Amino acid sequence: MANLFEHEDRRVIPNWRSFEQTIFLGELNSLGNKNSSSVTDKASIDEYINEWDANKTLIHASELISAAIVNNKKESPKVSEAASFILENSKSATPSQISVSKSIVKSREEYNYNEIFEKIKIENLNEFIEPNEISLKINILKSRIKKFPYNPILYVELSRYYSIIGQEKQSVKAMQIALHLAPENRFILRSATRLFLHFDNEGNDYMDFIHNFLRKSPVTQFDPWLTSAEISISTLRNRNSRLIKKGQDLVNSKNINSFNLTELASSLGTVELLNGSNKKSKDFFKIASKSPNDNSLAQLKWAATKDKQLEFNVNSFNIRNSFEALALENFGNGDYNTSLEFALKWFIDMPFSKRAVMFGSNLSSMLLKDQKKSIALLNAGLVSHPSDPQIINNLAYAHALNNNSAEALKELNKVKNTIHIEETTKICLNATRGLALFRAGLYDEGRTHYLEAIESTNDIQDRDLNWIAILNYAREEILIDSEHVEYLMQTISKIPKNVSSIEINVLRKDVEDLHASRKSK
Amino acid sequence: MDNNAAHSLEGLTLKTGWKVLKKVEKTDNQTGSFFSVCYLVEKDDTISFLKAFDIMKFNSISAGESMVDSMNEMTTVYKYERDLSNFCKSKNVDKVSFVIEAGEETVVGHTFSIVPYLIFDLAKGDIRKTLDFSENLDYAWRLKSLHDVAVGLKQLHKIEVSHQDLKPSNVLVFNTESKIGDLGRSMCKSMDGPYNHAVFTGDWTYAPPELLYGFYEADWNKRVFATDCYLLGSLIVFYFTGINMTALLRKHIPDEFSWDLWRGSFGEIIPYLESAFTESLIEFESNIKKSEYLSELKNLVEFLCDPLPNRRGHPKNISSIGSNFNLERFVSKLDLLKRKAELKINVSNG
Repeated sequence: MANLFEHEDRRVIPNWRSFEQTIFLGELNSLGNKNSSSVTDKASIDEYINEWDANKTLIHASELISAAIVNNKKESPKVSEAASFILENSKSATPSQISVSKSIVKSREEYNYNEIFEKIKIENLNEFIEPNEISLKINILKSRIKKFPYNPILYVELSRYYSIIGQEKQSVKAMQIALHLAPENRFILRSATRLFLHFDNEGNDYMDFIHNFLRKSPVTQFDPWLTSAEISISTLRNRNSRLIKKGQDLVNSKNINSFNLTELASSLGTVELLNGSNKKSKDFFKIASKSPNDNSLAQLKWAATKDKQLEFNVNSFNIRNSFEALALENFGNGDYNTSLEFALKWFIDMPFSKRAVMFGSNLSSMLLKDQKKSIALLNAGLVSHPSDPQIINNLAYAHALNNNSAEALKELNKVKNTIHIEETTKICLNATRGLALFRAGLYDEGRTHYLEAIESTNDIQDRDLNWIAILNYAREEILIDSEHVEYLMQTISKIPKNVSSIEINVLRKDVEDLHASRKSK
Repeated sequence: MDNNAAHSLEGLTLKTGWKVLKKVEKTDNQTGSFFSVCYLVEKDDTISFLKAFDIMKFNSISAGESMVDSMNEMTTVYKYERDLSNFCKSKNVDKVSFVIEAGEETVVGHTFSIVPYLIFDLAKGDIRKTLDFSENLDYAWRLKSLHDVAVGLKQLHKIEVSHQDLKPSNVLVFNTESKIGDLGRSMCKSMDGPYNHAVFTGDWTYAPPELLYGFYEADWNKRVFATDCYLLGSLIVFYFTGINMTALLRKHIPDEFSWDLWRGSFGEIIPYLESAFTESLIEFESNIKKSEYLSELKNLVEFLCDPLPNRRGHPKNISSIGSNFNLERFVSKLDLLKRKAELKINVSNG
């Protein structure tokens, strides 16, 4: 049976995208609303215009466009004239004269990420995370680092690519260098937070490391984007953050604009929600919703599942890259196909993120009953999580449901005994093996694994898992018209109807329908 | 114009014996003539260049200032340039264009009849006249000119003068030699000048990024010599790309981080600035057509233009005792590159 997507826990952990895209999303903008003047405000480029008028040469044109770009005076028609002159005489111009001229003549082009996201389909998913392409990008970055070893951004980008192809050691090493070079930079600290939480497991102390690093950094208490990250890690660790009060002060500050506060307000709202203080939580989420980013929007969507008073329509916001929130919104509305489309975008937006993979594969497998889509997404997820037992389990589950038991068993055999596996995942792996054996015609062995799994769910007192295991097992017995069907159906009838998990409700209906159709024959 | 004596010198023979031949239009900058009117003058069969200080121009750009204040300011600027020029000349500086004569002329019939002037050797023009960015441009010429400029700047630094306004229009070409022009915006530690207390006196179009972001190193030596280092590096970039380093940097700095919009500290912007610097250097390299110079030219620019003033200068200087901004190693490197290029020319000619 599949590991379900966990709707329960969500924290405002910083999202990690390329440097360019993060800039585009505005998450690296300076804080504050104040409008202090710049030294170039009063600068004049008249002398350069006069010289251009008097000479009309390539060099005077390029001096004028240089003056315009430095002093932010690109609007003058004379500047456009000079840039056009260079482009018309490009045969005699240098590459830089041409490129600066182009930057003046053309207004800043809308970042083409949206265009990229529009192209994503389940059929071409692999093209976006092709390991060879990523390796190529890694090689380019490595050669740049060789030439520019003090540029911390290059190490963060390198770390991100390594994380996408699941190379933990190299990814962590690159990020540690970036942290060493720029220990107080927002982009680097937020990227590092995401990375170290991503690779945190029982065999390392990454969460401790990055939590301590954030707490010790002097900027964390002044920069709401970092204060938010610290508070979220604290809640993940079931600790009280020392920065709650600071965070509240920042949120109440009049000098910081709403967008810069959105993640912090949603972190504080989450803390209050988890503490059962719905009134305070609502106030913080209200602040977070003034000018949300994709992360705070997804958090709001998650919070609304806990407190119905927070319910809102994601579509009323026009937020860049809000794929997670839109996937959840459409899921909640029962539009599973649209939800899957957004899940794919969510995955490509952050290819190292397992949540998108688990969400999309569950949706495909259990609700859309499209195992091929589930398999495609899970295989893509394996690029960054090559040994992840949950992904492997769900992949084997999809193969087995697709009646490809050999492939399912092959996947299950890839699970390494050397790594730590959570108890719930162990149970799922056992049940999935049962499923694969049933589909291979080895009913007794399959039954044994299912019964063991069901027993284990009782041992850990996981009610939902118990029901899922029973439902999955019952389906297999119905399919072979076994003698155990009626007893199992009686058991199923004791499962309450319309439980909170959509997957359980759907699975139950599927099993009951299957039973009814078999019976009518 | 009728009221402005500075515009009425043509045809006169000055008290110093110079005959004023004709007014020079600003087809190029000569010696930074923004506040002045320029003429060609002749004495003893030598044609030279005269810069007449224009009180009206001074007053027009000093909005709200009284004429007396403008006159005082102009006089200070005039005296400073004259005295600084003499000071440098006395210290054996030879790669800088000096004042060969200073004087003042009374031109009757004008409200402001006294015209202070400075006379300089006549250059062929500034380097913008010579630089040609087509494929034919001679690397040997460029490297020789840059070497001359670096020597001039080093000579100025040795006597604790910071030029502050090194840019293409202030590099003058005399036959085969290039010299630094316009000391008018310079700062001299041992002379009280009109700009000594300013953080930057040059052209903001060429300014180093830290100043554009409003970060000023408190230590005078560090601030002014780090600025000159940057300006030299930026000049190298200009010689090979036609664009200065500040413009290249700005092109690679996302608008959100530009000095016009950034409201955070300089410390916060540094990693982003370094990223833009990396991109600028990569772009600079793409302009170097002769691969044999690529690595060394890129290194020169990287060391001289580092966006962090503390890291600016040759790495060997930074790790040893003495000034980070000592230009000796850069002069040597440019000399070597120049010789290499000249050798190639000789071989190909031979």
